Amino acid sequence: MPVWMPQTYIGIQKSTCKILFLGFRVPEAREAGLSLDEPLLAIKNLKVEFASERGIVRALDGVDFEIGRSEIVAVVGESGSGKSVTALSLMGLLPRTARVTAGQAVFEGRDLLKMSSADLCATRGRDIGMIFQDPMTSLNPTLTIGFQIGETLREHLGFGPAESRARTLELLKWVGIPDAESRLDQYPHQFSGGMRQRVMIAIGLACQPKLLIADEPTTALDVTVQAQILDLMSGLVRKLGASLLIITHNLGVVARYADRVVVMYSGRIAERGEASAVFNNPRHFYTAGLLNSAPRLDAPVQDRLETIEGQPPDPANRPEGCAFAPRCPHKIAACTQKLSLLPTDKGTLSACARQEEIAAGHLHWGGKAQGAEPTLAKQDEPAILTVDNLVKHYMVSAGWRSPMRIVKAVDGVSLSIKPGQTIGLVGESGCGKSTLGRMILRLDDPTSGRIMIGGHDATHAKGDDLRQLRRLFQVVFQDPYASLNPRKTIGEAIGEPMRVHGIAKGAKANQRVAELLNQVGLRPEMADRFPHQMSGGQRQRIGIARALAMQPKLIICDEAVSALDVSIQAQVVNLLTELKRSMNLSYLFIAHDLAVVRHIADEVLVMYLGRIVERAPRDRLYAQPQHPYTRMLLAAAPSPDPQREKARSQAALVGEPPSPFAPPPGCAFAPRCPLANEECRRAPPVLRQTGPDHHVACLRSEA
Amino acid sequence: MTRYILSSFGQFLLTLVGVAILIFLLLRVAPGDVVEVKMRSGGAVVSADTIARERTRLGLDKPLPNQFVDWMSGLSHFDLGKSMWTERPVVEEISTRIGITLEVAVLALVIGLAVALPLGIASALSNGSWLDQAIRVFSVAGLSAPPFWLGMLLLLALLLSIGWQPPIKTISWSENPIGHLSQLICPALVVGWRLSATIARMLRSSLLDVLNEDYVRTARSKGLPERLVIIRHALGNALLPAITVAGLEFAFLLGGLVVTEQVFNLNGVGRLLVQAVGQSDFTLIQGLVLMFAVFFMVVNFAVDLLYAVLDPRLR
Repeated sequence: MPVWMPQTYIGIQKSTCKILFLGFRVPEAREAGLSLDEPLLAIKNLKVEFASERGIVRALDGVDFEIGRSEIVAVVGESGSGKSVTALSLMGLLPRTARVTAGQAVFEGRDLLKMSSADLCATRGRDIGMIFQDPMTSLNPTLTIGFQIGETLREHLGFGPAESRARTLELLKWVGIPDAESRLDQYPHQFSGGMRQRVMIAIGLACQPKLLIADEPTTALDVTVQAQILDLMSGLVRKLGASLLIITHNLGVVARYADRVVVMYSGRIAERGEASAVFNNPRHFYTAGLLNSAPRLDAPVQDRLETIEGQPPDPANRPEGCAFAPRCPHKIAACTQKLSLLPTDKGTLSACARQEEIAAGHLHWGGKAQGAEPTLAKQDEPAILTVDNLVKHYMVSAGWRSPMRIVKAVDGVSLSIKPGQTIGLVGESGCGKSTLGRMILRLDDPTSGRIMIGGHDATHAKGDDLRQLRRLFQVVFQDPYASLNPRKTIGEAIGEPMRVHGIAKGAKANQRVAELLNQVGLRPEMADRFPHQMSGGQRQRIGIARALAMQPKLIICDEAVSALDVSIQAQVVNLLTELKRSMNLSYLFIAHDLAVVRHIADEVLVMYLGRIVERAPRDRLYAQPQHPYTRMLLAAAPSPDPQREKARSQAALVGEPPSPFAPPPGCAFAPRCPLANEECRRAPPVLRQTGPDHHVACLRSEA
Repeated sequence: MTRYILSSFGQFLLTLVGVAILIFLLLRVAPGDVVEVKMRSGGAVVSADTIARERTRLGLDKPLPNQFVDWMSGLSHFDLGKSMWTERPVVEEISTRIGITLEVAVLALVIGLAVALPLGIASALSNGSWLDQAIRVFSVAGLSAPPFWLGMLLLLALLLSIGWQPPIKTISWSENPIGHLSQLICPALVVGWRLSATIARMLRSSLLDVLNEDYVRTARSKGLPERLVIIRHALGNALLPAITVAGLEFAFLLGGLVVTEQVFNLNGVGRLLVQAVGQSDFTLIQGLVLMFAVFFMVVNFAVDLLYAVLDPRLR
């Protein structure tokens, strides 16, 4: 029977909505006579092409998978694998340059790809909700939160103003926004990133859709917030009996939430099946490589991270056979032929030509020597960098109406780095870690405190003195796209510091550039190319080469690998480790990812709202974290292991980092801390020694 | 908000003093002397003594700092002095002429917006199509054709087709409202076309930017019809830069109607300025320039306030 009867449908929905919402009844589509055995959504042979300057690029090259009712499916892959394109094509939200050339997406008996625009509008937001990656830009800045949530209700369920307001309020409470009544009439900029993503969830679930599509829903959020949002989202979806399609690059997210997983590589599916089967017994070398190259907190520290060499193919020139073959250590002749997904011994589907050999245990990923656990740097040499009680206060005004306020971005930080040592500086966004890095580079002037570089006071160095000091320390920035001048060739970019400092010119400089490119694993002839011709990983290598040009003693890596894909990230981390050893470099490695820091740092500092809350040698910090915040960070970091993840309790993760505009009195972490008492709220605790080289700024860390 | 208004007002006063000093000095440096022009222009023979007496009477013989102090002290209680030519108060000279200029400017702005909004939206939505191209041609023509030439073409066309020509004498609103409007409509059309071109181009590009924003995608994912996506979610944000342009252009109109007024024989402040410059009427020029500056700042301030109304992040 035809299921789609918009008029009656909306009618039923409207009358039963209140009951549905409070009681979480199973969506009524099941009552409408649809078979429950049929998948909710079946994608068949989906092909999408983009028109680009380089001709037609096939972004999706035959994608098949299904989403069952009340099922959580994760599509995982690296950037450019086509995972977001899949989600957008389902919703009819592809950019103008894209075109669906083949395939079907059958949702409850109707093909989403062939729907009229009116039908598609009636389905979007009503039966399929969507949550996007960046909560900072996904909400309209000029409309109130209440309006933006209520809009969906008014559009699809025909709610009046009062009704939609009441329901919106209910929704806001539902997604855990405190003080919902007063926040209804506020604008997006008055919400934190985590709260905005909660608002997005409220919009996505407002009409109780049957399917929620979440495109990288937590990538832009801090670790501790990320876990809360994912728990909220998957919990609500389960309560509603809806299905969830999560698009992500984070294997830990997949492991924790997904029933089934689809692994994509270069516009095709490499492997799919039940999440635990795919994670425990990958039957495709790409899946295996991906799982191995993610740095983990629950595995021993290795000298080198396992990597997938090379980089994903250009989708305009994708090999006809297995797209992964050029990077695969086990490729054979059969890999150049067209491959299809075939069932494996574990009940999953894999497109690997050698899956049977993997299953039989004849072949394993990698097997490259990972080396022993790295030795820590020597402690007895004089420090190359000493930072003493560094403070940076900003005067800011939050708007026309508010008075000027002091933001304590960095509030009394001390640290020292010895030659050959790597200090990891960990914290969430807004904790002041980048400001600290900028002050050390003297890109920002400290409000007070002292910076000593190689025995010279650099706090107020100017002109030539500063230029001399800058030869000693260099920086690698986060964004490999924005930190290279698009109009300069790679060679010019790398050679520029040498020219500025008058070290080398002409042929000598060119030769040095070639050496540097070699050192960072790029071919010397790349010197003539422009940044836009390079991939993200290559650009980050160029950034490192530029930093090395001055033969510095210290490199500040400000989130230097966070923008990179897992397999590329491992390559760059390994490169940094090698360079450190061969050139006796020191790093100040600023990052938010504890697992990556663990692989590179000798000592780790944890920062929270402008202050260091814990400092310890690497092994001690990860084995015996003492500050409740460090423990929370470690608890929040997901690992790609379904058993472990599903067993984990999330109770400990609460709250969000406080606004630096209105810091809490006393210990900044107290409002989120399970151990906090009255004393903690009186004055900020100072760092005190609790073990060998272990310092903690907490009054109750022993409690 | 109060703080913002107070600080704007402070900047306003500072800018005004700056403009006053600059225009005073520039006029004194520039060649030309009002007494010479007034008395000897027709080839009349006037004794040096008479000229000196006239200069004394107008205060032009005083040292420059004194003249400046005189002018500034007048300014402080809104006295712009008297025209050195007609002897009438500058305020009166300006106020009798400002009306017609303002009317043309406002009418041009209304026409400009009325044309620009649909054109800007249409060309953004049909990006790259023949319609977009056609609108681009219309806009570029409006921007590149000089207004006086367009004005003359328009007048010629009207004269040849329906035999109409603008009245020689200014018709006031009270004696004949339609006649009054009819003398404004031609200049307003010519100026409004140019205005509409600037605003439409700006609106097109900002709308194209906004249509690529994530929140527009969110609005579409909610299942809103495209019409609502554009009106509710895209247009509000896309209008901000267009408003800035419209504000700047409008402020510029007041002083920039000089040529148009000449062509259409309108007795506005533009013509007054040309006249004052020709006669080296220092006090009148100073008064007019100051008025333009004030007007410019007021319009900018209004645009800022409008921004705050439209964009909650700025409140």
